[in-house]
Amino acid sequence: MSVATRRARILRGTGYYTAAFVTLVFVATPILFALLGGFKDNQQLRENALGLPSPWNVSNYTQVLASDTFWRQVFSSVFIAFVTTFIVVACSAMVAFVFARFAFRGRELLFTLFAAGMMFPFAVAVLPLFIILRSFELLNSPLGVILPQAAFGLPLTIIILRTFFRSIPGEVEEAATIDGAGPWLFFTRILLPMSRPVLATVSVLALVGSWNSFLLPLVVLQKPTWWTLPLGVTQFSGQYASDTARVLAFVMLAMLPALIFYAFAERHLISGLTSGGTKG
Amino acid sequence: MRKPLKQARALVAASAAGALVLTAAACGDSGESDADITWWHIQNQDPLMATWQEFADDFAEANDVTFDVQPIENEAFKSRMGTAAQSGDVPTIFHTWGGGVLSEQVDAGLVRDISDLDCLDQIDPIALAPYTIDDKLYGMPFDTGVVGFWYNIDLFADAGIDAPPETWDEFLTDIQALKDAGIAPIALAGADQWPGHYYWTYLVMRIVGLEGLEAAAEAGDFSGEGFVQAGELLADLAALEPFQPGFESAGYGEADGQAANMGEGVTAMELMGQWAPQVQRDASGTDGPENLGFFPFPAVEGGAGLGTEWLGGGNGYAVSADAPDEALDFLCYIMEPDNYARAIVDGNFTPVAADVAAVAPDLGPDTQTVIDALATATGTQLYLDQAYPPAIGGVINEATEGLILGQITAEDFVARVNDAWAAEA
Amino acid sequence: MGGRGVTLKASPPASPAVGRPDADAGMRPRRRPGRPGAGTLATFIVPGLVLFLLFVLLPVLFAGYVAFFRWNGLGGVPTDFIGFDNFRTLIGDEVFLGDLWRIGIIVVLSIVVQLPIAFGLAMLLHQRFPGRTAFRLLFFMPYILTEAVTAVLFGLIFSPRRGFADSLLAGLGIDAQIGWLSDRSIVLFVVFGILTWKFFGFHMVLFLAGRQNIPDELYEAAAIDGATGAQAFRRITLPLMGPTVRIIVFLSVIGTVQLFDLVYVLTGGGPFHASETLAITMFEQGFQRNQIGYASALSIAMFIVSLVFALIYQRYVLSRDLQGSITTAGGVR
Repeated sequence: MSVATRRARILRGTGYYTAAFVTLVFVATPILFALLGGFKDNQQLRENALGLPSPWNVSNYTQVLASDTFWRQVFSSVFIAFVTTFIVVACSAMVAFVFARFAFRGRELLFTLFAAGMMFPFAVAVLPLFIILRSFELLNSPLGVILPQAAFGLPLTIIILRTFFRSIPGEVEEAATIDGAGPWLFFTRILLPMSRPVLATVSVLALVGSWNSFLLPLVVLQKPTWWTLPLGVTQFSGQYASDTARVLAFVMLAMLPALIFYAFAERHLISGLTSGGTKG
Repeated sequence: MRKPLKQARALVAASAAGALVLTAAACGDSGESDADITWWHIQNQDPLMATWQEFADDFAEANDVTFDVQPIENEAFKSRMGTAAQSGDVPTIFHTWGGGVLSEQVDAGLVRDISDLDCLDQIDPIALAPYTIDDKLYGMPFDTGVVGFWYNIDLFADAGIDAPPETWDEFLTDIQALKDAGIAPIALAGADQWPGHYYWTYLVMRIVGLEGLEAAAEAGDFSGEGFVQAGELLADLAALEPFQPGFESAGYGEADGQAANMGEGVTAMELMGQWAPQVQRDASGTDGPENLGFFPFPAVEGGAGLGTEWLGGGNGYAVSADAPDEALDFLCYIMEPDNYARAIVDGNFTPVAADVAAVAPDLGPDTQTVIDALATATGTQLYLDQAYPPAIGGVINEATEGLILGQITAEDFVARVNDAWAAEA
Repeated sequence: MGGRGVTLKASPPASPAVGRPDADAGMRPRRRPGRPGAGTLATFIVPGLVLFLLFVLLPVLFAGYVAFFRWNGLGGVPTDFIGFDNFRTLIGDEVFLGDLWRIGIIVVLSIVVQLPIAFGLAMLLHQRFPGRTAFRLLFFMPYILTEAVTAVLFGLIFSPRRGFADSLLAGLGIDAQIGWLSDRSIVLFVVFGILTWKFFGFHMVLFLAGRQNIPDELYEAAAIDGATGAQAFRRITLPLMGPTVRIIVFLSVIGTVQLFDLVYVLTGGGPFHASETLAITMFEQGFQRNQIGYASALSIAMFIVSLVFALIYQRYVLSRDLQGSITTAGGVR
């Protein structure tokens, strides 16, 4: 290898790392500000905005962690996310099963109807949704958040699942039918177990969507009983407006579950988000 | 690759199982608070926040009812109350400023008539006016007062001003003097909009007089010359750039907001109601300016308004249409002399008691200032964003922000408000 | 809703499964003993269908109905029919027109600034060098944070007088009083900067996936033919990344039209509408001013804007890419 190419390679490597580190600083600074800011007190935040906390002050974090409110909001967020996910995946799987493996009159029409749902931005529906939930007496109830979220999650989930279900060879189903399995048995005993990876992917998508949801809970949940974390953070930042360090601690703790989840489910999240998006 | 996959699978399985159990648990629970009385108030700072909670706890124990007390920050409260009213399900006891907003809630059948409240004789009848609709009472006041300029006497002195301004011209001169001394003259919460609308309202009141304003509101027509002139004067003021840096995105009670700027002694004055000194301390985490003074909104030369006409209002509680009688008893429990006296101190309220001396023999100097102003009042106007229906109050607030930021003219302002009145009719 | 996505072409023949050997397996009508009857099929479909009709279709239709009324939403049903008045007001409403203008600005900025950065980083991370996986994980991280929480954080960072952004600049020796969120002329760019912070990692991951789909053989063949790296990039990478670029642009636009959480919490749309979005205008009119009829008209306008854009884009830009029903997820901008 010549000296020139080696030098070029070193230069290129340096270039890669420079670009990557500049981006990293851009990405990490706000999060580090929250993390470290939570360990400062307000005076430190004012006078020592850039440095490390000195002394390290854990009371902001411990106060938040000791409050019932925080844990209630974590519970609400988790509860709403899991029930939403369960409903949307269960309903979608059943619908996608029929769309993928049976021919009947009106199938294409029905499928187009569901798929067209993806064209409705959620914000468009939130106002009438509010009025409809009001007449169903679902306001201030977790179901008032769960059911619309699940409904708006249906189109995408159905499309992804249908594509996957169609790729399962017909022979599998024929074998099952010969063994005397009806559609229910085939669906629950064979199709769903075979579809675990894609079910994991759509579940992760639904979980993340529900976890981040803000507009719908904002409108539906006026009473704090079922407030989710995003609502809690905005309320907390208004309540303790003059106590910036404490707000930062709350913000950091509210971000933590998502970061932990991301560490475990990163691959599914990314495969879900890119599924089809780059098929062209 | 394998490991995360496995994790996710386990997660899905757990989520399915968990969801089943939890759904079962959640069904039948509509999420409604189980408490007999839910209470939304905006006293979200100690000591009063703790005092209210204590009152609720004591009352709950003595009367065998349960309470769900929710302290909510002012802006968030307005937002949530709006949605709650539309949901048709309002809290048992909720904060109100009376006026058109309360009136719309009454029309929707959400509010209980409390004209027969037991403790009414303890309350100054004048304070009931904003909560009285069609001769029926829909809210109980616990605080009342006026809007005026709260100013930092020391900063004024630094700028060589030894007496507060009495006329608009003097006011503008003082603004310039403060600026020349390197002091931000006025603290304003631009993002919250409502603090700005006090300026326009007062200018209108000084130019056309209280009667003129009331007549225009009656007719739903703000076309009069005085209304345009008020906008022009406010635009002139804004052109002097008298507000603290970053006021455009500042809130009233937040860190770096209007009240905090006053509390830290950074800006010289704010136009605000009787609660101002308290919020200055709360929002800044300080003891507030050492020497805080108060002066009425200056007179406008040639205007029909009187200096004794005040923009003002108070704070009160309304109860929902389906509220149990205990909710009314609780309102009276707050007004019991010992309790009310304590609330007045903790909340820095201006008392609404019929016999002030009986409940609050020694008031702080700031509160006394407000009481003195009230005593001389020849008329009061409720804050326009509460006095008028929300659609119109909203337009006035928004237009004031536009005017102060130089985005709309005084003529646009009037046209927008007239359009809003026309749409409401 | 972060988990939603968009389909560009939903008709079944466009499924990726078409053309695969086993694709027909599920489509063939089965007429043999044991074929499930209509009742069985219905039990599979009904739960999803009911959910969808009640909470997706009904609200959208209801919005279309209420848009023709003046209604404050307080109880009962709308009765004051006013025809197209709400829509007439809308097309003269400066805030609404401003919303459209601001959407345009954010979209253009995304295309000129954010997407090239994401593209460049994707190309960078496609190279093999130690640590690139860690970089990819970290760059994607902001995307998973809740928008509302992100907004609270940036609200503190850009707060006046003692904000972290000002301290940072001061630390770098720049003593500037910048009204990050208070200056009407720059607030939209600050919002855009935060959107970039949050979403470039997502776009980068999409680009990366697109790049990884290009077979290495193409580059090997090009190298044998004596093509330089730059030529290979221009002749192979760019054209083959076209579909990914077009999808990302599409997602950016649709996401921008719906933008709410981040801006609402950060600025509330202010100062004086300088950062307002369609969804914020709708929310303010509907829930703060009790003008449900007018706000419904805004909802419908938002829907029409999305739909018209999608149709035009699909017709003229995406048509050549569409071999598959293109789906992706995420509240993406």
